[in-house]
Amino acid sequence: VTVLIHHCILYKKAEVEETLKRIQGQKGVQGIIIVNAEGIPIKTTLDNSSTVQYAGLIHQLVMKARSTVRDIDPQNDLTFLRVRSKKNEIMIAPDKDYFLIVIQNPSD
Amino acid sequence: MFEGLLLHHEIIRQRFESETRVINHVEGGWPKDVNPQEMEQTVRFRKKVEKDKHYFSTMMQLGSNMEHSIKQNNAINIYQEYFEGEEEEVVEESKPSMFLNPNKIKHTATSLSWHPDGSRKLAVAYSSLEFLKVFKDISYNSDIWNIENRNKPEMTLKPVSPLVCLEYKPPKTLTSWSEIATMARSVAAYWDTRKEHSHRDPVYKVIWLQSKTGTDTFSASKDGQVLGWDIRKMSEPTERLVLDPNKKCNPDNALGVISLEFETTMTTTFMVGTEQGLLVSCNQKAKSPPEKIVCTYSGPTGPVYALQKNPFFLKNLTVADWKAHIWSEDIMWTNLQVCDEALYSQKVQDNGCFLACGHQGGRGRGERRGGRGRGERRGRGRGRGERRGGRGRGERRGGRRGGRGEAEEEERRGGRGERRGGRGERRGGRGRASAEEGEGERRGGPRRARERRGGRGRAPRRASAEEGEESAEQGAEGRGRGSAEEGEGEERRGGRGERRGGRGRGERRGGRGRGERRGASNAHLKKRSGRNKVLKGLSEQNKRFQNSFDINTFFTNPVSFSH
Repeated sequence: VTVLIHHCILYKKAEVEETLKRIQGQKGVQGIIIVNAEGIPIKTTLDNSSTVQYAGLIHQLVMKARSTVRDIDPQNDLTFLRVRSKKNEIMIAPDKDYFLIVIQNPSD
Repeated sequence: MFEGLLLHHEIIRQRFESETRVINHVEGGWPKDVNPQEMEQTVRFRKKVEKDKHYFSTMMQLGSNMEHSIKQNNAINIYQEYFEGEEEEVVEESKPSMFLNPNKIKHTATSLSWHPDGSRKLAVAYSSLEFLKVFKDISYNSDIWNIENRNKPEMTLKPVSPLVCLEYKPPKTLTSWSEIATMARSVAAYWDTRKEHSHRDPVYKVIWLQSKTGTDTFSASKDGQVLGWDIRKMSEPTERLVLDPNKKCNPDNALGVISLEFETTMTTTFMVGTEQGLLVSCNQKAKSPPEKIVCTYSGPTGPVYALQKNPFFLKNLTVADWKAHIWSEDIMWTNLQVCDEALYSQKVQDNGCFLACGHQGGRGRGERRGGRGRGERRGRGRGRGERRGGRGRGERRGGRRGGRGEAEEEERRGGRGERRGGRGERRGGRGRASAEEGEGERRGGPRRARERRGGRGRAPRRASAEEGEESAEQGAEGRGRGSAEEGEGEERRGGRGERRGGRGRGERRGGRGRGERRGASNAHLKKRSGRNKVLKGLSEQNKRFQNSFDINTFFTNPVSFSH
């Protein structure tokens, strides 16, 4: 049974890897960071210092955004956050336990 | 001693160094058992997280959301600066207008001519070139339209038989436009009643002569005769020239004439383009008929549908059949394979630099003729391509046929001005419908031509699309004659006012342009299939009307592209 579970996990892991690879391969994508609820970067394609910086700062931002949405309407919840800046766009898909952060340079 | 020691302790003060530091929470949240500095431990932790089931499901979901947003970003940049530096422009009325032919049976506009004094009147001749077929209720009327009034023609001409070609008089004389009606009518209409004097075949081209009396005109037809007429005396031509390459005036050998054009400076010489591809240069003032044919050029290999003299370089002459030739009087300079299909009309732009060709496929190509025939750039994809130069000029002229090219017309008219079409649709893309129809009709033409001429291209009529195309190609002479006229007749507006600053349409700028081009290519594709449809049912008349109907639906779409 443990072998089966192990295989399932591996399959899913491959799926996740494939999804992330696909995202990484999209045009303009500069980096992907997966952060857990405590702010620990689980997976990243950027260098360590940038990763850590993004993880810490964005975590706070998402918390704030989420609380804002919920304050306005308690039945509502934050599903996606986009921060558009001059140079690029930071897209954050939040969840209860993890965040997926993608930095993209929009097409020109 | 003991006391001394105590004193020492009391006196000495300890130093306490303090420093200001910012606490940088570099990595927070690590569980207690993991030391963030130890890479091994952190890696292990991460790997453990990655194996979590919850992690998988969450990641899949977040991943798909994210991908969607990324693709959105890539599809269109909504924050882009559009239309940088553009000023607001006043766009003139640039929608195509349809002049609906009130007749029940729609037939082709075979010739258009703008009123020469710059007013907005346009005369259209409707006819059918399938002369062997008799239509029962066909109306012979040709209309004169004022483009401001689109519902009804301003005046209708009712000749005895349909007019094939129609020309407005150049403004030299004070005669009104009614003159031309007479002229065209008598020449074209009475071809069957005055057999010995007039043309035996339908007259394909009528041009006015710049003469003192202002009443001279030439007409050319497929029976190989170029007749000079004085409109005051309509019963008989004043001159007759039979285009026989052997200079023998044998009417049986004569070549069918399709196009006719004068040299701009020398009014006594004119060039005639024939079906067989010969260009004949003729001198009007020559005393006897054999001398009239000065020389022949046999460059073009197919029927010469259109000729034009370059108003600037007096020696240049462009010719359209399947290719566009640029000639000088003595030698042929360049020979551009412009496109794969037959070219029907073409026109040289005012400053002599651009050459536009319209052809059967409805495409117009623009070529830039750098001075001497060098530096041609071919414009693909719609006839837009190169046509550049400022705003006002650079319009592409040419009998466009086929879906595209609304814009061309627009530009031609300076963003305004509609072309009329036999079906009422002639205008930009719409206008093509009638051209298509014309093609359709003319497909019957080849057969007729073959019968009459024999040996023209013997392919038997077939109804299938591909074959139809083939036979149509072979019978090319039957095709597009009228349209060549149209193209030329239209353009022959005295070169005035046609090319007004093409506003609105011609400009392609930034994002707008791109979008338009895209639309254009779509229209192009549509046009292709539309043409096939036309080719299919050509053998029957009913089908012809049906097909033209199909074309209509095609052309109602794109137009956003205003070329």
